[in-house]
Amino acid sequence: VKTPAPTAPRSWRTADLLTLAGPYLGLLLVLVIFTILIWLKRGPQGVELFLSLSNLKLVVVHSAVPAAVALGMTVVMISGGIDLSVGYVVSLVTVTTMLAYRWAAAHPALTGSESLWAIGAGLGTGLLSGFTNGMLVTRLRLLPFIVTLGTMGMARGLAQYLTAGSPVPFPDPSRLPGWVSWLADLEPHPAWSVIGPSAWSVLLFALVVAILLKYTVLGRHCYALGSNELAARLCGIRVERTKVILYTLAGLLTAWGGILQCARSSAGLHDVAAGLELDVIAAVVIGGGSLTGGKGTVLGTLIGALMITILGNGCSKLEFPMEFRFIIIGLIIVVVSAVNVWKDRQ
Amino acid sequence: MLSSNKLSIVSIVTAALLAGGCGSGTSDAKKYRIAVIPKGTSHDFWKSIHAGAIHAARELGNVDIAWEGPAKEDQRSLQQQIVERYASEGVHAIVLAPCDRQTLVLPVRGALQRGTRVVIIDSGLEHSDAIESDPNYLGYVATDNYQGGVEAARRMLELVKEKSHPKVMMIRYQVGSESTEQREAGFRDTIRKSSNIEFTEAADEAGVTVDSAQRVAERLLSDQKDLDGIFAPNETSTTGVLRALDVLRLTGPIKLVGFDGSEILIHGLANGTLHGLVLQDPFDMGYQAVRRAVDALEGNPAPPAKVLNTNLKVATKENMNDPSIRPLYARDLKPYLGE
Repeated sequence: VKTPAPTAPRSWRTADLLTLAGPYLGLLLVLVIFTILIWLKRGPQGVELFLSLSNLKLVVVHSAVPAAVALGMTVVMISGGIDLSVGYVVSLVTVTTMLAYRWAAAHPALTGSESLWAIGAGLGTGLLSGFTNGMLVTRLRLLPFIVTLGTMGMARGLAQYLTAGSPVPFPDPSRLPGWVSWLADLEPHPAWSVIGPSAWSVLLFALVVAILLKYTVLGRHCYALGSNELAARLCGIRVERTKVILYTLAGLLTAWGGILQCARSSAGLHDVAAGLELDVIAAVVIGGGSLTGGKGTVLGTLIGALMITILGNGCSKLEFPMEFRFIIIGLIIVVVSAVNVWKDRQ
Repeated sequence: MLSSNKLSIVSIVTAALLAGGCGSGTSDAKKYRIAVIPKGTSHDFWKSIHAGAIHAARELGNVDIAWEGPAKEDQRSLQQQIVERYASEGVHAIVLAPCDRQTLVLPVRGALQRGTRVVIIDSGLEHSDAIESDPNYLGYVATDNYQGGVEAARRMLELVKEKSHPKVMMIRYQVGSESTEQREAGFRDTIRKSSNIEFTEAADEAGVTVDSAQRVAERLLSDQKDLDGIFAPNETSTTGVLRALDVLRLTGPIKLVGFDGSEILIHGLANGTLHGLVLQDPFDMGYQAVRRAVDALEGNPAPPAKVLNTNLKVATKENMNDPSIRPLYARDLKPYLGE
């Protein structure tokens, strides 16, 4: 790491440097802290395992599902909302994807198009749940927290009902469709591409969302809504319509997380991503987002998602007992968020 | 059905339906009415218990089964109400899988005091002298989870016996889950007796979802690819580890022994990617519990042991189609439940 350039104007303060280094600094800090801890506990061998290329590749692939979902959450949170339903919507998407695949596989007329039906059903499920969230928030004028708490329960119940609590595998689990094996691969494919295919797919979506937020009217409206909804309304922004679009977009990104999850598990599992919402919200907040809206970036969120995964991975390499992991991860989330707030105030 | 020869075909069918299905059906033709109260009703595990109870009732001919339980396995106060209702209704016996060790102690004591015979199945109740010394308490019928772990370890030893210093790892499920902790203890104690085995236990826990188990397995396996065997103590953890081995293309060299069946796991067994699966027998549990209750009601001497361990088998690719194994994962419940 380079020290800050000595030519920097004297009026620069710590806060400015923090803003410049942005979310990278937190990531770097976490990496350094864990490297030191692991070195103390397991010696250079442990550090070698932690910082090895294969472990870093694993971290990136393990971040893919939370990161895809967190992209949607970023959009929703920038606009001043929140979506608690994502964990069970991801689970529900894995279920509908698999059920559609099995349904198509059972119909000879649809041979060859099973995967299209499957992915279509999965994305459709996410779109529909996002649209439902948006409509309920705007039409019933309920707080997003309450609405999505409700849809979370609905998605959970529906997934459980559709599966009767049992895993839904592919008709022949030893012959998976190509896209499933490809998206589930932990190794880069082709080999020169450094990180696994699932991570690339998320980066592609991230690029689209970043462009959307930065260069489109919808993106500017999104920030405006979250900063001051009343002012946005007075400026002529069609608040309700914008919100429905944003929640639906978030639903689509959540659905992509669900498709990735489905490939990872190669099955539809009614509770596979239970609790994901908390990791995802933490990722957005670590990345500079705020529960009060108006703030957050795609880059920050991606780094937040990486950081959450590194915390779990590092604790595992440290061979910490589970109870301490919860404490440490909780503590780091609070500290990083506090630094974000302090930085904003300066 | 003792007097069924006098009845028309139609009423036999009706009586059978009443005995098998809805809890409200009482039939004068039956001598004993037994309430079977599971922890939940949606899972296949409970359906198998129901079918086993009906099987016993049909075999005995003089029993009417009432089946009712909470929809979800954590609705302990609802289950408490169900127990109290059947006790006050005056059923002859209650077969109960308690949702909670503590909450169900009082309702069970109440039922015993009313003279209702009680058999506890699947999960234990908190120790209570008042219950265990009551002559109407007929004991505990359940899988011996510790023994399940022992059987899993024996299968593992068989799988790795050709290696001189095999490395075997156990992935624990979650602290505080009694049945899986018993399985883990059984596995650990047995495998440690073999001096040539390098046994490790990950600090990571598999956690409640398939994905948490898969992540843990992928993390651990990326550090130690030289393992020879892994044991996972329940269905979700076995599924997650199996998928991790699959993704990392390690299903050949690393032997996996797991617990409980599902379509995916049975396929893994048939396919040779999963090398042993400890299967419980809930059908047997329901059957044995009803038999035990009726034995007591008929005035037969009480069984010497208060605890009855139900059938438990290790399924492998080789034996999975044996008549003693196959029903444990592929029993047709339709003849009993009529669904």
